Amino acid sequence: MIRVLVRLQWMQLRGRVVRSIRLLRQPKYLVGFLVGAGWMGLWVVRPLLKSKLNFESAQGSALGMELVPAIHRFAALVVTIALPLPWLLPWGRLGFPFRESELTMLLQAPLTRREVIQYGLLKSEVGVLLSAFVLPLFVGGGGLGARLLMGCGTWILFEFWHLNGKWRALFNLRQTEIPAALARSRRLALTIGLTAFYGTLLLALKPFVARIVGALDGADYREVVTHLKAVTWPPLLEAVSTPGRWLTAPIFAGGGIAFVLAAAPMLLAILAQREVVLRSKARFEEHALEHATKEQARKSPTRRFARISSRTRSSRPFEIARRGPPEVALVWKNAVRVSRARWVRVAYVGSALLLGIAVLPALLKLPDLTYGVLAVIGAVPIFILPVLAGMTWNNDLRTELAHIDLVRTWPVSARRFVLAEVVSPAILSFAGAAWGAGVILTSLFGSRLREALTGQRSHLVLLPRAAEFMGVESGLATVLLFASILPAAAAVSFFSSALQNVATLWVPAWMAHSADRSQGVAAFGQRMVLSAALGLALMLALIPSALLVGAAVGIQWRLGIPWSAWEFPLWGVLAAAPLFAFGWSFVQVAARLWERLDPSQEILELGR
Amino acid sequence: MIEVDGLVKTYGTVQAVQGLSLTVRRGEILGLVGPNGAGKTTTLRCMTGIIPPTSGRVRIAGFDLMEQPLEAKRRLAFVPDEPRLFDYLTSWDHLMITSRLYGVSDGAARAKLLLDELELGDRRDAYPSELSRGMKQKLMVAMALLHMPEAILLDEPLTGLDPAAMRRMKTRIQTSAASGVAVILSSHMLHLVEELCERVVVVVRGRKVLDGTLEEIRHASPGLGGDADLEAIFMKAVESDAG
Repeated sequence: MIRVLVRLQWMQLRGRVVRSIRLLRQPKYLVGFLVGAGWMGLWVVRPLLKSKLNFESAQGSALGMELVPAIHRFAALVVTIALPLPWLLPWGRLGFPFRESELTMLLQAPLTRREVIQYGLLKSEVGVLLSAFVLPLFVGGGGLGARLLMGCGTWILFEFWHLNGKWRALFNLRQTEIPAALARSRRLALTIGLTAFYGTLLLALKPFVARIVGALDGADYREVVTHLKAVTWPPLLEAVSTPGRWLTAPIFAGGGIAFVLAAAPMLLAILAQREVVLRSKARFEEHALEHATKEQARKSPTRRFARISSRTRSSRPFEIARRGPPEVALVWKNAVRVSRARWVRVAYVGSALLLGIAVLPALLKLPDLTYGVLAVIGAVPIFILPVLAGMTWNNDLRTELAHIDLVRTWPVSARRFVLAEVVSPAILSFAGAAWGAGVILTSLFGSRLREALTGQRSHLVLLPRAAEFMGVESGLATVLLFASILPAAAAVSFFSSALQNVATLWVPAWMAHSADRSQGVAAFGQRMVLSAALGLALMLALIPSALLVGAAVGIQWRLGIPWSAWEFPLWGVLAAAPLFAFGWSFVQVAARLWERLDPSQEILELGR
Repeated sequence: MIEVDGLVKTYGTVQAVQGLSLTVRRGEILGLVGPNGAGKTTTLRCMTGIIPPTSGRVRIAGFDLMEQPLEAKRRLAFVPDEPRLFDYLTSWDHLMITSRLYGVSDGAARAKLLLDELELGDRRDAYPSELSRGMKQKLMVAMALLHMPEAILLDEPLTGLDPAAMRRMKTRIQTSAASGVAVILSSHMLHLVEELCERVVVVVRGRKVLDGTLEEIRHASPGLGGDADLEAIFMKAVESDAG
């Protein structure tokens, strides 16, 4: 019967692969897949294949090799402490990775409990295998064989731990089913046993820790390894951590017979523990179903909305009038998706925060560095948010594709519709950038305020020689500089969002408008293409911006007019103009794509 | 009011809709029936501009859906078989955005009336995830009726509704038609179609095989008795096509 279930999994996987391959018949998806696969091959698979298939460990420094036994001992100690610890807790999740629908099917099928548990274990094995092999394979040193062996060793540890967790969860579950007196006595025995174990461990650890601290005290950091190697382990600690050493031995065994000798007993231990789990009498079905339901609810994108209070539900970013351009309604809708907070209120709170940033550190006489740190924090949204406008907010065409049956019936022209979708994230990104600019300006103002209050000179000056070259003093020059940055930030936000929306309509099947549609090499390739395209397009679009600003500066120089900081805003507008123009042309392209879009095969037929 | 002429929709080599033509007059309720995969939903999606037809024409209140899409869509409402609402908008938000998009001057008052009529008055601030399937369906109907369309296309409108809500919905459809709205009702519930629709179009494998009143399509199906109901006519049509 278990073979039928494995086959079910295989068929599901095959279906997804076939669906993805069908999509690759279209050249645009094929290009994305090839780029993604090429990238993976170049950076991940090629280095792996280049390493020879031998079982030699990495020829690291002698220092590193000498440290291996010490690392093994410390790893064993960590395992010894951490593995039995959860057994002290009388609760815990069962955590079989069943979906609710799957469990409903399994529980009514003519399957034994053992088969259902076996299937649950098999499903969770994917996660165990991946986590065990990813690090040794891609980050580990030595030949491919050595990395594989290290992965096998890690898998043995993880698998044992994983089964131990399941055993503990089933034990706790069983405790609720047996007579209370028996459950209490079992819990008592377990607690006494574990307390005694940890007490012994503590006794053995205390002098050991003192020895290490003593050995390292005042030692040169280059001698740390020598000291750690030289520290003698108390016999009691050696004895207590021996099972942990056995369990971690395959990871550190190296190749050949040593690995086999280290791995064989642990594999037997895994089999024994697996049998214990499979033979558990705990009635796990109800709990597994409950867990599956909770997991489904936890992963649901609608979860956050259920928690919104009834008062907040009636709040909206701004009121939309009865009549007016439809774009405003779409922007309103997309703003609600991000937050229901009223924009006016957000502006008040943002201003109050800026005031606090300016005044509080000065009043509290905090170091001048505080304003420096705040200014750096403010710089982050100015540069990051506009560039990533199309990827940050997820309130554009990507989310509309899931509601294609509704949005395509709206009487809104394609251009207006696309424009509203492009503008929605751009507004939020620009607002974030503007707030970042506000943080920098208020930090600069605050540092002057601190200077006046404390009499200590501030070193936080953005344009220190503005008076000399720009004809105005540095404070005013800084304000003018930001007056030039803001139009550019708005233009970059618009450009980035427009490009993202063109991509959404160009390759709609790859867009993450449902949970299982953003995965796979093809989707990865699409993201690579999109990120590369965005970076490249931004660089290309900046060329005309630079030429325009350069021309303005050059003309001024030719005419012999001295430069002034008052020209900053003009330069900002000149830099922004080509980006807005490119963004607008992307909107036109996206509008044409929206008009021609046939969602039947790339959106509706793929299932949601 | 609704004119469909030679509608064709092709997916690769598969013809989902093959030259379908139909007309629905003002105040008329037309039933669109057919087996699974017959092309009903594709037809309705083509008629609402969700998917572009491969060829053919659709006119709503005299406006060509391809050439004057905004004028046509302003007069049209569609209730899809699966109510896909916006997760982040409450029932009231859905009605408000619909009101603004269609330029309904008394949107708030009409929205309140419709919510009360469809027994959603107390669910005004609920998110779709807090509504049952039937409630979502009702909200979709409320959104469709808000702008007082001249043509309504309903795809399985009674799915998920309780018997009382079904009755109210049927009455609502009849009232709309009585006020001059052209209605197309696609459903597998043949007794519902028989009860509500003046005319029935039977579609099999993308082709129209029967079109007319119940009496007319009964006569067009040889071998059936004078009292044959829509189910018998439908079964006969499907079997004839398969044969």
